[in-house]
Amino acid sequence: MAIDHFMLLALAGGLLAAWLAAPLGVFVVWQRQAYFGETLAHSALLGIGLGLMLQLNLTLAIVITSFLIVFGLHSLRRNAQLASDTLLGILAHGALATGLVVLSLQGNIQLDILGYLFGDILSIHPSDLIWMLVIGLLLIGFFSRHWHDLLNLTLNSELAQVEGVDVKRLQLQMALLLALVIAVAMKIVGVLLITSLLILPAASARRLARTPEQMLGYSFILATISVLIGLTLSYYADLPSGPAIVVSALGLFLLLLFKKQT
Amino acid sequence: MNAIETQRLSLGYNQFILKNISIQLPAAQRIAIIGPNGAGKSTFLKGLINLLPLRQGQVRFLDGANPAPALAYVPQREEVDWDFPINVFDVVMMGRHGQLKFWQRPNKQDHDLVRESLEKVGMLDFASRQISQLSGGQQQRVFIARALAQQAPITLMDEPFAGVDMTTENALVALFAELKAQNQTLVCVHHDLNTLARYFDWVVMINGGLIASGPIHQALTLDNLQKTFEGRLPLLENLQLTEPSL
Repeated sequence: MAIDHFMLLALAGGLLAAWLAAPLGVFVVWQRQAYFGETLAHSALLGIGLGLMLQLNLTLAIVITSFLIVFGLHSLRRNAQLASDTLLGILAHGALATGLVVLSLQGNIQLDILGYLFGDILSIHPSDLIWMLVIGLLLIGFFSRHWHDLLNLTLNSELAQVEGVDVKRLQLQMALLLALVIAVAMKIVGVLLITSLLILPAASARRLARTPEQMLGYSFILATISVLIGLTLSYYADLPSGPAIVVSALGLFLLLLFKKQT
Repeated sequence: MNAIETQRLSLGYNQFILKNISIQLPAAQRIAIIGPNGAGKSTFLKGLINLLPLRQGQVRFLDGANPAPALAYVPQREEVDWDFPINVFDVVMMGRHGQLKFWQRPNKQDHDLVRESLEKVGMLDFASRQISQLSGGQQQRVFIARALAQQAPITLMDEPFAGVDMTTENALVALFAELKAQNQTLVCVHHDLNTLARYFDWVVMINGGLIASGPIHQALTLDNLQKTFEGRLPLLENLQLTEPSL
């Protein structure tokens, strides 16, 4: 009975995380922002460290840290005269290393660092599901309001700007939403694997899609299948659930490589 | 009426690329921006449409019309994401979405306009083709059709003739004529002095600042060309410094 309860929570958490990641993932793939997602994910560990140190709600601490990283990146891009990937590399690994240092300073707290790095789906709490539902509503609102503007700016951001789209604001809002989703989804697959939950279903969906809407739809479907297969494997073969989900998504991607690109 | 008017426009990042450009570009003209490489032609175009922050000065469209008029833009081909899963028709339709509220769907008129625009550039047969499967010239024509479908009073293009085939070049020239017939204004960065007088009515000569701006037969003098290109004048012997032939 207890196991059923945990499994149901895990299933709900896994599916919700995958569904939050799917729509953002297609834009991460289209706009070549995988490394940016990776940077936000790594900064989550710093968020956890700071949250524990300052005794804040951990999800809130991760969100605040990610937002700071987004704004920090934004200002560095304008002032530092370094290429984007260099800045992202500095921020990603700087945040990860600082996070690990801060965590190790919390001497008397028992920490599951592996759980943070690779996910621990059995640690999901009903309050996590509520966070995910709220963010899901935010995403639905954002994407239905700005879908065409987002497609426009993906195709060519200058064109979108000339046609009256507020490109800078939309990009910032996307970055903040991505930070939110990573903060809540990292419990499922962990800091080091969360980017794959974003990009694998979208990259697989690209093989099947002929329109942006189809790519979004296939992304949802493939993300759902990955979570179902991954959790089943994890339950019956006693595998770590985060890596099992990612391996399932990878398997689907490899399978679809054999399909001719549409 | 002036299509575009700038006052003391300066652009650049740490140092100025362009300084103090005050210019009046008349409406219903085909306007070319010329100058040597690195002179700031694209910078000027991007400054006009707010793609680069102005260091100082201001830009006015259609004598300060309120609301600001819609602008159509054809970007350089390298700047478009060609892997995006979308077909030709939908790319052109995206140009119509700017004029719709987010809850509105395109109506029959929008569909007709998209089809007409594709027809004009000879791309209607490719309407359901994915953009990743097009040749370079075809890709260019899709974005020209998209600009057409917007029916904007001012259209801006960054080097539309760069590296295109004859079909595309002809489509562009036909489009220029049509825009002029509809009293629309066209502003292009252009680099081929040999076709300048045939394709355009007005020339803006730039090299770090404004050298000259005027109707081609007045502004395109040897003196202005030498100031603009500073002894790097390409193919001058073929150039007709006379009245435009169109």
